[in-house]
Amino acid sequence: MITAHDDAREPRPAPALILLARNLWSSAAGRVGLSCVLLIVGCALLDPWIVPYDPNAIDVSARLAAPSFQHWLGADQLGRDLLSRIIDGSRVVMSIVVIGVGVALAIGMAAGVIAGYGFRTVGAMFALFCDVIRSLPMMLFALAVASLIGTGLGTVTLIVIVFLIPVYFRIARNQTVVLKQSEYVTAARAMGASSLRVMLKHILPNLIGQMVVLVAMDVPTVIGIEAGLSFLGEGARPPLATWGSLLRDGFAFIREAPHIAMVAGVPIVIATIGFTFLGEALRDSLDPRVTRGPRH
Amino acid sequence: MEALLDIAEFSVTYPTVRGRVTAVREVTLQVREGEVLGLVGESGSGKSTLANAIMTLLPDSAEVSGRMAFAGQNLYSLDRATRRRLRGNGVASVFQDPFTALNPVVKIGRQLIEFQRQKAGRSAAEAKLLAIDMLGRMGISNPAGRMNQYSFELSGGIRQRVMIAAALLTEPRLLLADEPTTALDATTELQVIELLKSSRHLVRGSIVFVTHDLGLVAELCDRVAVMYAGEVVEVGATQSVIANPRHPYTRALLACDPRRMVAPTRRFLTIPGKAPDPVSVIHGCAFASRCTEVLAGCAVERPRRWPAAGEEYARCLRLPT
Amino acid sequence: MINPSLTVASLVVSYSAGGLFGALGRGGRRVEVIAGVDLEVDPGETVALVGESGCGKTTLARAILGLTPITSGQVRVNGVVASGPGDLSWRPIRRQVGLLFQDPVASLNPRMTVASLVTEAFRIHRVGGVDLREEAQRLLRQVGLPARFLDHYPHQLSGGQARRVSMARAMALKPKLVIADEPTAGLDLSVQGEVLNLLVELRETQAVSFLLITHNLAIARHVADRISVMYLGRVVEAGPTGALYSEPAHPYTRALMSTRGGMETAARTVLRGEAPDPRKRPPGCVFSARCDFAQARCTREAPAARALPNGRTVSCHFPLTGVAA
Repeated sequence: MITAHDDAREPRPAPALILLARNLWSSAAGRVGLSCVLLIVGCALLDPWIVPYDPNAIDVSARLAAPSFQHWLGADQLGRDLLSRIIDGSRVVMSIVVIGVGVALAIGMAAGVIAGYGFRTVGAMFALFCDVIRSLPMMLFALAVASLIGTGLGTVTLIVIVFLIPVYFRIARNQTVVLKQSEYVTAARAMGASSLRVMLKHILPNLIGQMVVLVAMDVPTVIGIEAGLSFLGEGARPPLATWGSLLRDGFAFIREAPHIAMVAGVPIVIATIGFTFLGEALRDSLDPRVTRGPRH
Repeated sequence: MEALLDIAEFSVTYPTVRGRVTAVREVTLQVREGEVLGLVGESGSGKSTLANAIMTLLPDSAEVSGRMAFAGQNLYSLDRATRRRLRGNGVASVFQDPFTALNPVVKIGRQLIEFQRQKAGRSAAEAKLLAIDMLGRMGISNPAGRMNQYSFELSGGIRQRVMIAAALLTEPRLLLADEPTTALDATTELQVIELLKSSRHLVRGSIVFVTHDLGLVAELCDRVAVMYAGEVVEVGATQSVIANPRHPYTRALLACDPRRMVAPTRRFLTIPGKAPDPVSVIHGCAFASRCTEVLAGCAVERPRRWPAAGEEYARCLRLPT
Repeated sequence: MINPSLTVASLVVSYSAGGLFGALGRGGRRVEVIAGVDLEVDPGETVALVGESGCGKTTLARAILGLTPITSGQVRVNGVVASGPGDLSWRPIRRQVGLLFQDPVASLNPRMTVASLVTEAFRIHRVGGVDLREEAQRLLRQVGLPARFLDHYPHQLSGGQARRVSMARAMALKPKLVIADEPTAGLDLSVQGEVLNLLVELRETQAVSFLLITHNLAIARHVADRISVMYLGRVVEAGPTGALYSEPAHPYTRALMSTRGGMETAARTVLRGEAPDPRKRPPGCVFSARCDFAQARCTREAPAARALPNGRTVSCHFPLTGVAA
């Protein structure tokens, strides 16, 4: 009986998530990214418990108050505490991100994998749809849609979904074409696996890693879409607090109370930096490359 | 006469994520003028690192100790800039994969002329003529026309011959061939072997032939050095090393070769176990854990060269038998 | 009458290339990668398919399983034929054949554990009533791997371990035929034997036929009962191993046998020129341009396969041994 000559005992590997977290924490960018993201997600999740005031509570006496001990970030034109509104806004914005990105990812990836695997008709149809979307100027299209179905978060989410689908479709399709050539896909087919099985069990799991990086980098875009639309008045309807609507308020009162606009911009900046850095750090950790220095 | 390449107690280490790796371990070796030396080893033996060291192409992070002298000059006692200037001037190389060594977007001809640029007093026109002549000598049909082709238009065998031509055109004192036939088919390899044999006179200097194939060495090399786990475990005249190997690893390696098993067999020989982890510190003989002739002292005492002086030796506690 | 494990009859694999019509997938020039191959593997036999780069042997391995579309000809495994193109019609054949890849690590899905990798065939073919984990353990044991590897991922395996896992996977549904594509590629001499010994052991304990695809003549000589030599998409000679080594009938075989892998049984023959491009298939015999024995007829007329005594065939107008022209 021939036995394998093993290396020294292989220790049980730590769960992938822990390894990933450790990896991310090891770089400066990763630390910054992870901290910012955790801060924002934390606010979004813990919103009802950590807001110092009711975000919609009007207090005329505190109208346009500058930052102070009572209102850490000041108050807006109706005396509503800005800190509370920002925290509340993070919940709303993150919900849009999760739903918007989630739905777009599901549809875009599914169509992309099917198209990339070789189903030409589906692929062609979807590609056509995506090309049309990509040729539209987003803000104008959004305004047009808003005028048709009304403003509101639903509209914002719909716009996000519609504009993200082509991105995920294209990447998923291109990657699928590449992955389809891998030896392990050939091995599965050689064993008799059906196309469905190959797509679900072999291609999709190997695609997700890259998509996660993409998603992280797209979050600032989504935040930007919401902020832009709400700023234009086509997004959140008052009194709903979102970062975009706060910017809108801030802009209206920029002479009397500049702090509002500044304060409203901060979470957007943090989120953008955070998610971008996180995306970069994720990409680096999922793609290890041995750096070779210049030659001796 | 002093050796062209004199390597004495030469070691190379470099850091990795898992720790410090000792790729080459106190190697002592000479290459005389005009001789062909075969450097044989399996993967992980350190032969490629040693070859890179000879070509002064080690990564920045590598640490070197000991002596490596080319034409009397210790390469690693110089500062990096001086060493870089020496590169390409006297040592030429041929690699395993000529495709990546040749620029795919530049025509062959232009590259062959460029390679000769360091040769003082050689005009571009002269270089071109010499290149065409060399291609012809390599047995390549239509050499003038080939000058206008790109590397991807050529088959593996021809590419390798172009690479050899390029190396020879620089009239090196030392030609280093790193697994030049490994990626070639058996019949193409035969072509290249015959070519190397017949063009030996074109190389006025010496050749170091790095390979994992002892059979190839038997065809082409005057002397052979066998490497294991970063050390040279045996070196000597090719015929005597192959007919009468003194080191158990050499013996085992020869025994594993299916080409040397005359009677057809269904039972193949292997060397059980694995080479020691290059990150670890090796006590005693590196081959001890896999040696069928191991003695009690082998795990403790590192074998010294026997005979102690001279260019031919083996490292084994069993010597002299 | 027992079915041969594998019968390949007049197999042609081609693709269209060149020209506007070629790009559209219709008409245009057709490039034949496999230009009519006949092959047979009997139960329990090991047949080596030898040839150099560009001969089409890897394409043949894929075509046998329908992984590459077949232009014409037939593949029969244990009497079963694929009814047409498409994964579904090839399923019955694929179920009966194990495939070993040249790069074992790449052939393992990096996101699957060893346990699920080796038992995937069970799930694909919905084999019920089996404890998959136990089966996985049994399969690993067969290739000499202890059970603790079950939960490892491919990147945690050494090359040799990955090779064994890939063998375990190939043996999952007890196939009657295993196709091994360059099983010793990239392996050092000192460890090559491990793979070969394992293949031999599997063959003996599991009564499997092997189709060994390799350019390494030395191992073919020891392991194979019969050899088929391919050149530019055709089988130029086939027969029992010993006979081919000692008395090659085709000039190309002779050149191969003069290399070191061929044990240098023939006088050293250095071939002229380079292997031709399948896109520029020469008229007449594909080997004529490089053949030392070529005559006028060879450049005009492609030789058909003819039978020689002792179960041999050769495609040559002037074979070096056997029947006179």
